[in-house]
Amino acid sequence: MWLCLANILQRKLRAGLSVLAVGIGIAMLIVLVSLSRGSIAEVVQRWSSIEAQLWVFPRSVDVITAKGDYIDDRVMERIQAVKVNDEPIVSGVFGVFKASLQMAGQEQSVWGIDPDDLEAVTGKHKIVTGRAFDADRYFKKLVAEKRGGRRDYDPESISEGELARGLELIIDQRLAEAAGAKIGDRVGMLGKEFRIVGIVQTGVPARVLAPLEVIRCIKGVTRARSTFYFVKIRKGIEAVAAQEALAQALPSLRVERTGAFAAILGESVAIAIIIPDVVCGISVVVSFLFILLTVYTMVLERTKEIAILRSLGASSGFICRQVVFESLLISIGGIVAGTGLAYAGKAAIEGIWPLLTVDIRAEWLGLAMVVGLAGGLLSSQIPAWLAVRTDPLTALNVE
Amino acid sequence: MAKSVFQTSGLLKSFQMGSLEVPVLRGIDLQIREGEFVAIMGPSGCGKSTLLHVLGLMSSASGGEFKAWGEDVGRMSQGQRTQLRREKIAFVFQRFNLLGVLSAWNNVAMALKIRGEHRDHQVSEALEEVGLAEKVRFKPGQLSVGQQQRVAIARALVCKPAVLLADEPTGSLDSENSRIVLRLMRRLHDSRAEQTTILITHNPLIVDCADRVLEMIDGRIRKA
Repeated sequence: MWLCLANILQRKLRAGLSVLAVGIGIAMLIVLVSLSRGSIAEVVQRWSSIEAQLWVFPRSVDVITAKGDYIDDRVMERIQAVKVNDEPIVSGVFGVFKASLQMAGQEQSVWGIDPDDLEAVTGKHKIVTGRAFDADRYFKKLVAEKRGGRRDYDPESISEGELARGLELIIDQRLAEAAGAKIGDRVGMLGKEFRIVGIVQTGVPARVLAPLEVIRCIKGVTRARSTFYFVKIRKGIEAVAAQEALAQALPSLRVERTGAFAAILGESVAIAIIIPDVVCGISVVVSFLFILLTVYTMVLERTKEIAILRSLGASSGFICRQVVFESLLISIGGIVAGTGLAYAGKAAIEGIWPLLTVDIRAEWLGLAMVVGLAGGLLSSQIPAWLAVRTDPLTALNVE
Repeated sequence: MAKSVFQTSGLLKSFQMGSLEVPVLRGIDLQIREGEFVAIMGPSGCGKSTLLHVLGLMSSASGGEFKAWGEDVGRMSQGQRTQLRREKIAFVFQRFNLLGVLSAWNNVAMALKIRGEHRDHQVSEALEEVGLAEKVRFKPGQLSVGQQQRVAIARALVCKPAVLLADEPTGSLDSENSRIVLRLMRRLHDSRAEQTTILITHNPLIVDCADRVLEMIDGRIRKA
């Protein structure tokens, strides 16, 4: 062991560079995996706060961007009417009209929801500052009045002053902190200036919530339409059975359990996970090629040392172990350096992009450790083989 | 009568140089007994070092018979030869061949470590015996050539080998250091009753130290 350590310390710069190369590979592995999985896990965690068991959306809608066809809200009546064994299974339905805005340096998904459905969306998360939007239902009532029982209304019939009363937003605490936003601040969206009226605890499915009819009105969607619906099922009804019943009743729509969001999101962002994984894989392989080269060079430089050990009676196993130990020492140094770099990377990423989640978990650290040690072991195989094949007499005679 | 350590009969060794086979040992008949201090002298290129390497199981003979401690070396596997070398044979080289990254102490300890029997007191005793108790922490580059050769002798003897093979141990030393090293080797040989020492040298001082001097010329032992 001292010989390995002494040899590494003999070439501090080269060993240091090798440790750094492995460290960068390991850090990339930890950070990219923690970022891609962490971000998905954070979104899935937020979705779990929705107080609904099923999720209904057009087959054409992209889960991530919500781009695609809107559904007519009349479908809500069909959803409510679905029965299993002549028993109604649905206790409530609410629609979400999706939009987006730029805040804290990135695009934020905005959920337009009925003020009466706010609690169903935010779940146990409370408004910590300010109030709910359209608190007196002014805008909701105004649109209902304009429709006058019809499906459509003329958006021109709503004055700028009337619309301005409805331009309200609720944002979550994490976005508020990231954007330095507070109650009363104005935020531009869809060409209008919205006021932040409430800040809700972090953990709600969308970081920005807005009044449903206001978003529809600004986007010129005057018929009651939504991007997707959440369905609450009655107590005692199995979510899977309800999902099947709804899917049969609404063959043109996709019906999923909200609990299956992680899997659906996983499918949708598979490429976004694969790309970082491929980058990780390449960086780790390059790092270990660096170890291989380093250890290979060390062995080439030290044929005489190996020959001396041979003359002292060292077996092939002993020589092999020296080489493998050196490689493993560099790998262990790389794992330690990589873990430190990963935490530094996490701090930097979350400092620059506060809404990104780099969730470094013990399992990713464990994975990095296994990859690091396995890589070190594999990288040492060719140099070890070369060392064992060294002819001691030739090496001893080279001066 | 003392037991035979090495016995060779018609020992041959040749090297392949391209398509040419160059004979180096051309039929060596030799017997070395336990406890002997044997010097092998001869001009450069006569095959002294090659003979030493074959005797030390670092190289295989091309032909003839070679028995070590009564066992036919030709029938041994590479692993068996390595084990025999580890357990019974030690080398001292002209260029010392110390591990430059390790201290004198660790160089000596390495020989024990390879045998799996590392004991600190043995290392200290070996370095004391060669008069380097004060230099244990020094690396080879910080020692004089004479001191380096003494570390190499301590490393060879720490395992109490049955046979010490020394290849021109004074070849890199001045006359004063050569005298010191040869006397040291003789003294250490005498203090170990069953140790056999085989030494290759050009140094005429060896005549006073060795029990027997063999002369080699053109790959053959000329006289004993």
